[in-house]
Amino acid sequence: MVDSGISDGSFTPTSGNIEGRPIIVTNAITSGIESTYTLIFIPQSAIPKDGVIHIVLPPEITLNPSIIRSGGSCTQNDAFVCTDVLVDQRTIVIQSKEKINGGTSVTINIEGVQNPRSEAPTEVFLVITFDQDGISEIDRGFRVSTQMTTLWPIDNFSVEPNSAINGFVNAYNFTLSTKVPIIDGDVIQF
Amino acid sequence: MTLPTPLDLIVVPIARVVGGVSVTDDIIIEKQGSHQVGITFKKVAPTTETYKWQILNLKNPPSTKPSAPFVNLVVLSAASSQVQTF
Repeated sequence: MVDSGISDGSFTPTSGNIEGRPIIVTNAITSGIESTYTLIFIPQSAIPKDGVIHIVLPPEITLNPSIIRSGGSCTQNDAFVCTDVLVDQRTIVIQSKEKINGGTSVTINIEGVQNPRSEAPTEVFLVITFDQDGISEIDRGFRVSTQMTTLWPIDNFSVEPNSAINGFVNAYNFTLSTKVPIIDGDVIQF
Repeated sequence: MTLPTPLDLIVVPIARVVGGVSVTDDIIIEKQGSHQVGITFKKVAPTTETYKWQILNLKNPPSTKPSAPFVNLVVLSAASSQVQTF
């Protein structure tokens, strides 16, 4: 005998893929205002009735559970039910009310998402589908990022020298007003 | 008396009042040039909607002709991505 082994006849398949389309942001302006994000994806395999969809958002985006649950696909009761919004894991848990066939386009609208504060591309959004138990993974993918296209305008910027005499070397006083907080490490360039 | 050269810029944060308490940001001059200055907020005090600072040793325009406006003000994140603009 060269080799031997035992098989119980069981194997664990790997999950399939989810194809993603570009994310649609209703108001793609920097600095944390609330927008609706539309995610369109095509799962490779079917999502069963009462199957579970996890939408995992990137760290640049802040979730507001009460607003998310009160609008968008979370109120699309004939199709989806939002069973949880896990702020720490940046995950929205959605139950599908109907079977969704593999290869068909699924559209999820998420309201109350706070935009990133800068125009840098976000990390990717992730979509994972599960069986009715919410544990057995069916497909995983999407992996699409988004990017804000408009900069938030500063409310006011003023400059005033201590002396108005021409050629004088003196102190200038600067005042900047903005509803978006400056945070540690920010640079103001002018 | 020797005046400091206009390029020896010094930034001095101006105290802000937040909730009746005077607070001050920790600000440094990031880079200097003849036409552009960057200041970095190393540590931001509790925030309001208004931020104030003073830059010393700036030279006034040479004549009474109005200066060009301050333009292209931009707020950059620590990762140098644009956040806000004026």
